[in-house]
Amino acid sequence: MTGRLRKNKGSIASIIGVLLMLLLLSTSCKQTNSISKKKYSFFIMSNDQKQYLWQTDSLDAGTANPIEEGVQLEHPPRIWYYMLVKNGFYYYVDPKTEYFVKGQVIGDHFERLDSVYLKSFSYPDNALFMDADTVFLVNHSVGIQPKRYAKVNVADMSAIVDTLALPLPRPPFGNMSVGFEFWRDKQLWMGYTYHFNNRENGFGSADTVYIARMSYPEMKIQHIEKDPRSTYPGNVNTAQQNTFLDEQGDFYFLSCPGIARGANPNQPTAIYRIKADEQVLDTGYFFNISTSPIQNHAYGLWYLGNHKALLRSERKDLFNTFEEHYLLAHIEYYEVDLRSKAVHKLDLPLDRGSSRTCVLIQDDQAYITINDGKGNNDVWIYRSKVQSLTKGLHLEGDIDYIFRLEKLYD
Amino acid sequence: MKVSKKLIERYHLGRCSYDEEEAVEQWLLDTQDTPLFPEGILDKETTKVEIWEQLRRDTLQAAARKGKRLSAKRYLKVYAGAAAIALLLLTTLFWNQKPTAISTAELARSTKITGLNTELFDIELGRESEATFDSKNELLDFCGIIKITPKKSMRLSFANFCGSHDELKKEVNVTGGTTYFALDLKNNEHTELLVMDEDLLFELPLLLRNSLISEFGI
Repeated sequence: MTGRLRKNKGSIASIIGVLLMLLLLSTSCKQTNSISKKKYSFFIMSNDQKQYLWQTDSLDAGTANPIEEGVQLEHPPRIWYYMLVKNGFYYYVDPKTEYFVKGQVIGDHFERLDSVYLKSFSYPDNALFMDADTVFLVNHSVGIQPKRYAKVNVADMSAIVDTLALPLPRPPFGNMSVGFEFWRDKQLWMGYTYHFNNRENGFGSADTVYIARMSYPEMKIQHIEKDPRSTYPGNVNTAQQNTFLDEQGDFYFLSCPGIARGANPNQPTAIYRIKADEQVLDTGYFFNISTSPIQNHAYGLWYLGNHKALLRSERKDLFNTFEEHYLLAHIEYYEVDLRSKAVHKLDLPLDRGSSRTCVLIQDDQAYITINDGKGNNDVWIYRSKVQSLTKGLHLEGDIDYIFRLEKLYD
Repeated sequence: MKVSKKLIERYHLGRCSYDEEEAVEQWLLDTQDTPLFPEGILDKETTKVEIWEQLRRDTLQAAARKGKRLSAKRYLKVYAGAAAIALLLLTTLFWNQKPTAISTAELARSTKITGLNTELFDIELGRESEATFDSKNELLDFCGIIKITPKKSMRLSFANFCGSHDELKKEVNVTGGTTYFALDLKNNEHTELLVMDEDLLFELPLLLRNSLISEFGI
């Protein structure tokens, strides 16, 4: 019995030895080939116009230098506007080549893993994940031609591209843009509008919100409705978000006639909705932001839960020209009550950049990034339930813009 | 010699004449801007795969297969060519297409802009655009849209003599090496002479920005 034990002890020792070796090997492999499992991703632009991706686990406190700790994204330039981040991967359409690229931060560099060609999809109007593996994109303006949509399976980077059946622009309009897509069961709603852009009249939009309802996945138009109270429903959602579904399944969206988007500033910015049990716009619901105590145009909207939303608006008394609109810090944040239409201003520093992916909702907290141009580059934490605002992570270094903050993994 | 897809194909297969090889390698080294892809001319996916394969192969081996003795100069050229391929491949595909805007070199030959001083700045005119440069007052009077990269930091005046509105004028401190777009930003309500740093283009309404991009190939 004892003899057998001794023999077994020897075998056990060698098994443990092998296991230890394997453990050592696997950890050393991780170090040279480390793919981050961090929770959050930042996209930063430095004062010398360099782009950085930085990932972190905590937004709540402390200080970090994302330029030193992050990975430089050398090209394409200014791509933060069109980026998607999902399940550890980064996606964008390369504007020059029109390849939809899948990449990842591996160790100290950004690696492009795969791509698929999507002709005419540089600078897409809209791009979002319909489900964990499928990206739905709407292409850029193509004049008086049908717009196109693409569905990309990001697991194998295969794509289907087809034309959208939306009515083409007619004079005086020469272009159109799609601002949102919203799926429910076997139907798809798209918000869009028409634009003109010429030397005589400059740039502007139809003074109308258009919504098309289609069968899905057939993409056949079932119904088109128009609302003349505002224009430019939705946004380039990859740059800044302004649509959401609430707990009841009601779909809300912001219309943006302000000068940075629709350029029909005499029309109001407003929140519209399509109710969960209805097929058409709830025309009785029109939360007019411009006539509310906010008194300004807005471009960003995020759902806080419990019929409250966070709105990102401009201050017309703080800028006189279009140039000042984008150079000066004049952006504010409000909590708006979607039912009572009450508004509550958040006591944040004036912010810069008319579009940024700057709000991340996590449970009952909203993380808001501010970059005021004076070195106050911070993550703030807003708790809607108690209307409390505290400062979280501070970002140091030569940062010009905190363009994106989002979850790296769902 | 125009570098075509067929020529690139032959280059990879080692079937080019000496002059043809020189042309392809020169094109690879010269391509500074990432140019637009032409519509429907190439099978981009195929060419992309081919070029990736080229990258992975030892370019010196490819040259050796041609059965030629490499001079040190050509050695360097081929290697530099491969490095250029690698660099360009980072943005995948490329083809040298002239942008619709008119470049400085062409402007110097044409009469589209008078008084142009190429020592002071590089300039491109958009479609249906014109400009006059008054070197004494350092005033650039233009109509339409221009893309300008000053070679040194200076205070430059811009004026916009077109359109049915009063002449707009603006003085701007421009930084050497930074690219700006000067345009007349107009809508129903408002006209503004905008001199905009290229890096802030994302602030323009989407359609305007996209039309600038397609006009200038940026």
